[in-house]
Amino acid sequence: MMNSGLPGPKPSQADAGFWSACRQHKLCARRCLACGSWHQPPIPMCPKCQSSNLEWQTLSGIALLFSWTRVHIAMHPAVADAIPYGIAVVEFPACDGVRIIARLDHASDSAPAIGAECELYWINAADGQPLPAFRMLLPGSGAPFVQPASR
Amino acid sequence: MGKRVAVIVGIGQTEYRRRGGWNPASELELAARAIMAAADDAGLKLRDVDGLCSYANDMPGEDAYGAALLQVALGLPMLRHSSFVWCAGGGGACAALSHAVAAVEAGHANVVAVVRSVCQPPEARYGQFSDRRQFFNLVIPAGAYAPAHLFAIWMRRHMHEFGTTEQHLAQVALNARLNANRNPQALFHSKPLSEEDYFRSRMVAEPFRLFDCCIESDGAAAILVTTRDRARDMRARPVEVLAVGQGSGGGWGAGPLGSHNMPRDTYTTGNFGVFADELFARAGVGRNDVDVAQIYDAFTGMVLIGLEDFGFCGRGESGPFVAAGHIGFPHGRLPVNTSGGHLSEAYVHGLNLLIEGVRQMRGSSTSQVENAQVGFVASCPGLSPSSAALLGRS
Repeated sequence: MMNSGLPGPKPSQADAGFWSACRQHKLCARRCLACGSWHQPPIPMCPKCQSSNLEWQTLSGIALLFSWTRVHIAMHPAVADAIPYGIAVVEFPACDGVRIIARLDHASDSAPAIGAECELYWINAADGQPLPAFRMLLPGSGAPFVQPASR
Repeated sequence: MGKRVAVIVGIGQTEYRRRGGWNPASELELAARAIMAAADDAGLKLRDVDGLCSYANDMPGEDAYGAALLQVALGLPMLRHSSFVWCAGGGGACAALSHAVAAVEAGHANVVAVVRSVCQPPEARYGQFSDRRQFFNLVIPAGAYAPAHLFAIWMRRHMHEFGTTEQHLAQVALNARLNANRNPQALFHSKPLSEEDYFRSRMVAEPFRLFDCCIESDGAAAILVTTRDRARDMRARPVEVLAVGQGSGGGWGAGPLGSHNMPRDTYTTGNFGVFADELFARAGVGRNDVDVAQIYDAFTGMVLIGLEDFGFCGRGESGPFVAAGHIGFPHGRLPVNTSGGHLSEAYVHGLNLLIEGVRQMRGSSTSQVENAQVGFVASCPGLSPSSAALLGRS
């Protein structure tokens, strides 16, 4: 694959497990083995019960668009040809509503619909690290979501 | 001896310049010059300053300023208090004032400076990709390289939940510019902005256009706090600190600057939570007593959400509130960001807003609210911990 040039993460002790799961195309969040609750971003203790018995688990169920923006100015050379590109915050209702922020694929003349279902796919950073990304789905249809801009 | 009550006696600023305009001056030098200006404004000798408070020192490097270096640069013979607020950014301006007030009232120090200096190096501009971006791994892989991207996502959700529009954002930008056009210190003093100009400006990150974003500027600002007794001998009319403090609700963490995992029911707020009611209760004033407000405006949407968080309008009602002209000077119910704010005066991480709050209580603003008795100042909505202050005319 061509080098995307995209800046990727600098994995740390806190999130190395997240990024190594991404290398197997698994999108994870932190789950507490003591109380079962999910949280994101990772911190060393469960925010609900303060247990340190935590594990990276694969996020499951549907992902819904929680909010988004579309970026019109390239603030890194790697995205110069991608302008305008989308950024999504997606929510996983089946996993305590944990949210992931990631690139959003979109039709450039449309406004993404908050609440609509999103599909996970993967893009690569410059160093080959897979990064999660999302694209919109019409509920049930699998077709790209297109909606006229509201302006 | 009676109870020590802290008051604001001095304000000082460097000239505000566009980014790079102070090159090769350092943040340390500008910070020192702002404190010197504040001492001069108060009619105090520089050597009387014995406390230094700051916040948001998010660009470490050899030019980074700190209490130890400031003490040397200013030749302060004795430093009795220094403190730094834990915060990702501009949430700390009023918090640093609260540290200064606490230090003075506790008797730990006598004359405390609150200072913030911004002098962005080319390799670490706030509004561009930076290798040093906070919460790097949460946001950079998502293509979110600048705060505008992240706060745009936050604002979009507010628009979705409450029907807030781009027209409402425009009103905040136009209001700031009108005020800046009356303020000779404002970088956009001589640049009018029409609604057409606003909507024609380039999109940065939807819904934010260029004029929804603060200025990239360099400069420093400082405030001096001392006791009410000592203030009697000073040059300027002292300004009362009716209440000041920090307050942030739970579960936010990096909030909008991170992965956006704030609690669902508070996501579209600035996360001040119960602090707003506590601040007004401590000051012994109500929302209707506030004559003028300065609300952190790195982006227009922050002003809308700040108005809601502190109860100047209901939740979700800030759009119609600004559309009705309520934040305008001189006829609005609550003139907001009367110096031009970060959008049109300069971006000094909230300390220039605090200075404008002081000017309103002295009666010396260039958009002076007639007979203003109570002024409100909010630091950055959405950063935890953030802070706010209520100031009073003495």
